Amino acid sequence: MKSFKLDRRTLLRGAGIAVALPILDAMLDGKGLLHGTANAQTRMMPKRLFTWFFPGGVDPGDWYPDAYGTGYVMKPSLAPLAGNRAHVTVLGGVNLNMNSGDGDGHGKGTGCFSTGAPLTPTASTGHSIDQAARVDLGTMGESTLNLALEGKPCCFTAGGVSNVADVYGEISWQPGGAVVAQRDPVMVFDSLFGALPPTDPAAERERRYETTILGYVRADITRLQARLGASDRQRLDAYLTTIRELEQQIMMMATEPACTRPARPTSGAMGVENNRYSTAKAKIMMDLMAVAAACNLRRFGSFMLGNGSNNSGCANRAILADEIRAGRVPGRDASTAVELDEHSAAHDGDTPVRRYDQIRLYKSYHMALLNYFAEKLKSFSEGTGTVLDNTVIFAGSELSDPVAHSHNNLPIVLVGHGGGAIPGGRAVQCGGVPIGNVLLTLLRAIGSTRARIGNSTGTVPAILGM
Amino acid sequence: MSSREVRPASLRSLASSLSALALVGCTGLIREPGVGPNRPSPTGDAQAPGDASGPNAPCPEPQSLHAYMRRLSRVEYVNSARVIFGGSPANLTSVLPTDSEVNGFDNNAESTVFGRTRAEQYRDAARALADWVIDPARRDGVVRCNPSTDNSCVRSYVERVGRLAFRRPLEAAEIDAITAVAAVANDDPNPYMRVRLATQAMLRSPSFLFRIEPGAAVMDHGPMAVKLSGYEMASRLSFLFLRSAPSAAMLDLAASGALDTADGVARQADAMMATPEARASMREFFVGWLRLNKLQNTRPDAMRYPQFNDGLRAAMREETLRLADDLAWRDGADLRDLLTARYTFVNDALAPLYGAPTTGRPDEWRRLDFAAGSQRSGVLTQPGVLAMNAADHGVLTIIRRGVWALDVFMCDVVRLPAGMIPALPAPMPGQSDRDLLAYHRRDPACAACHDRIDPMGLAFSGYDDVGAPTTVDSRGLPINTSGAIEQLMISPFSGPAELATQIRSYPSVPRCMAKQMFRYAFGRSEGEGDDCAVTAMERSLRESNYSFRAMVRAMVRSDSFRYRAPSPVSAGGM
Repeated sequence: MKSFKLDRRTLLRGAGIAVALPILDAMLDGKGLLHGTANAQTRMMPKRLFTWFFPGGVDPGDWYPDAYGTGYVMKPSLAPLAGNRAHVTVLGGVNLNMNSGDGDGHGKGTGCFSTGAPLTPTASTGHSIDQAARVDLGTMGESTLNLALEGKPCCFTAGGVSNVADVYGEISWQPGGAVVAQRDPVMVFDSLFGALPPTDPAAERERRYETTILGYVRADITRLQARLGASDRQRLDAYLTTIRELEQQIMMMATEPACTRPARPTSGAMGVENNRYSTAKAKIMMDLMAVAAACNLRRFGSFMLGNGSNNSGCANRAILADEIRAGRVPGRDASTAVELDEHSAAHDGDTPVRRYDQIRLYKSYHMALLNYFAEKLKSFSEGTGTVLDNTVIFAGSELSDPVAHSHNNLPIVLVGHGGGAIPGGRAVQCGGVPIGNVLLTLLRAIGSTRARIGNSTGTVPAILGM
Repeated sequence: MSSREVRPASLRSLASSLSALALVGCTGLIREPGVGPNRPSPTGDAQAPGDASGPNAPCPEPQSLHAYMRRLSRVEYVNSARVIFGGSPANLTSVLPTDSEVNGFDNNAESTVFGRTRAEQYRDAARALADWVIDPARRDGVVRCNPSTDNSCVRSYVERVGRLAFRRPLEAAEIDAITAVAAVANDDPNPYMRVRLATQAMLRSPSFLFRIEPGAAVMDHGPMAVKLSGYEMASRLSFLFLRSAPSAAMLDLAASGALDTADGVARQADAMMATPEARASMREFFVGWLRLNKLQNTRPDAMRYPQFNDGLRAAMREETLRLADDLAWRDGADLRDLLTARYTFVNDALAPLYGAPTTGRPDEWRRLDFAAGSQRSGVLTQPGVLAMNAADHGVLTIIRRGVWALDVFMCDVVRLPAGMIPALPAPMPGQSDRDLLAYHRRDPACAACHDRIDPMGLAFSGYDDVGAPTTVDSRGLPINTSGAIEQLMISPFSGPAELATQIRSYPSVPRCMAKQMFRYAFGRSEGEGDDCAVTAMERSLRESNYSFRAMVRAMVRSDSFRYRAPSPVSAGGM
């Protein structure tokens, strides 16, 4: 962990507007206190929330503990997280509860699990938890970091029905449309850190030009809006918002400290072309997400390991076999036979026993990657703890039992403490609540005061140790 | 009831539409009063001819013509760049955002909000294009003046290029605003930097990125319809036929008033449909309609199908599109032959799948007529369609093929139910795929949909995962492709050819064709206000012996194409 110091006024001057920017670690002294102030660090630490989606559901018998509480026994599918047990909260008894709206098993599961809101044929009707966090807690122009690894599934669902790719391939939503995830690590890097070093004079000139263009576009949008009907105005509003975000980004960039600016990823390091999955690419993306979180460039976001209803990427047997062979999947060794792609295992395995046997292998792999992300966040110290302490990872899948395509008892795991509100180290039986209750609990845990989200009917106090 | 068309009288009473049935899904739990989920209407939602509101009725004044402001798709952006600048950098496509696919079409206006990622991608695309424009090797030809010696160069560039980029003449205030952006680079050592900035500004303006259609200030068709301007018509035609911004010549035509009448628009549409460019571009409609992009994800078992490779994949797509070309553009062609054509087009990669000889000239395409008694029939039995709907499991292949045919030709969209799907039992020795599927028919919840999916799919089970004939199913047991679909009132058939003949004359097929075209052209699903347009398209099909061009002509003449709702109405449009 590199350390650096940064004057808070630098940031505000750069931003040009007095917004409540998150407090960077660099502004805190060794005791986690603001330079020259005595505010308690608990009040100052940024709280973060990231959704982490893994496709394909789980083998329920190998996932849910037999008994809940702090002394629960972790089932083998979750074993890769064992080293972070103190930071993990395993949830049982959470239902999607989504009988209305559009979408089939996978589409509904994917499109609703982080919103708790019904789908239209093309989009969600609600905010996903990361967007809700931005709306509730974000500063003006703050954006989320939404990452995925593969292209959206094109017109193939289990039934062969062409449908809306977004509800299978996106998990971050605003009412009416997806917040489309970035899928190219190089572009992610550039949008976080800029393609050019911040001190370059050419970069300084480019920033001036870009600022001018953005100002023109902003004025042009406003001028046009005056002549348009409400729905078209709304569409241009969405564009206007992104223009403001880009303006904000440039201001941030002009003052961005060296921070922990990582090396720019190369396509060679991923071993695959853009829009294709590789384990290396998954890790590079999580590295970027962790750095963005640690530098407080992004506080909210989503990460999509793969698309539901998939046999490619993290659900592909060749990729899984490679990982197992390389010894990177805890609890599995070369003697393990990987015979089916994950979605095929749910649909096409010859006997029920064999299907679950295959699904368990994929879960070990997916949870090893979730653990990788947790470790990454932990590697950045913040105040007296780590970034993971001030973050909550909301990990889940679109299905519980994939063989039945069930949405009841969804597999949800929380990692991190969300700034201290979530004690961790326990399994919580939620007793059949709708997914919205979990979403609301997490939003409240990081400081939102909203009354409801999606299908919430209340909160789950046990997640907060109450 | 009109005598023009004969329909079983009993069908008329079944008023529920197929789309309503699709909402029931496969659960079979929701029942419309008096209409069991097992009995969908084969008429789709078409009204019977002869009714006052039916296809023969004149269109009333429009009530709700939603006009979504569409964002340029990736292809439209790149094609437009070529119209505006005469070319574009090779990497432009990879910089631009991908498009979401809705109903198989990737140009949908409803699907995605404008997110941060998109804004960044448009920023990068504009920069890439602007850098390309001022490249010393080509800037003289593209910019057409020298900004270091000519003070009015930037302004005249903005005027000329802006008209192409915004698809209309620029207002004076717009020219001022863009040249003001350029002026920020006045002290830049590179005089072309001003051109670069002006180019970037125009390409990031909503007037370029969105198809903004405020309409002409003309309301000659009732209070709910604003007529689109000639420039807007030029855009609609160009994007429809060329997936591109209009050329300078098209804009000149708009300025002349030639696109102000339905006849004028139809004339221009006919002229465009005669060009090879429009015909090549219209292939994208067939790709979307037939869901041919699924072929990209098709990966048959490499052990069983060693002949499958990217070359064969491309040939499969090309085969289907060659038949579509033939049926769309050949004089006198019947679009319904997509279902029943007794011929196809093959190259050497495809010929073995048909048991036809190869020529040793891999790039040569030729027409192949099917032998008498062949079960091959239109696109339904083309290898690409069969392969893209195949799964690595026999039963699932049958289901996918059935679902595809229902969706594509009858607009009968069957979705996976959201609840629990009971697994089929493990097959016992001697049980065929057909025997396994029979379990679906015993459970009423499954049968609600599988009573039509399974017999439809089984008809095509005589072809393997790459579309070659086979006599055994995935269990190694003999195939039986005969069946009947009581739910759809499809009589007993012996195999795919007889089934296809019945689908060809199925009542909901022409309207479904019209809807598919509508969705492609308008980038959205048809709404209530578009009923008149869809009905006119359907009628034109019936009256023209199913001419594709007649259907398109009817569409461009329609209110939906030439008018939009006035702004206050569109407030409720989203």
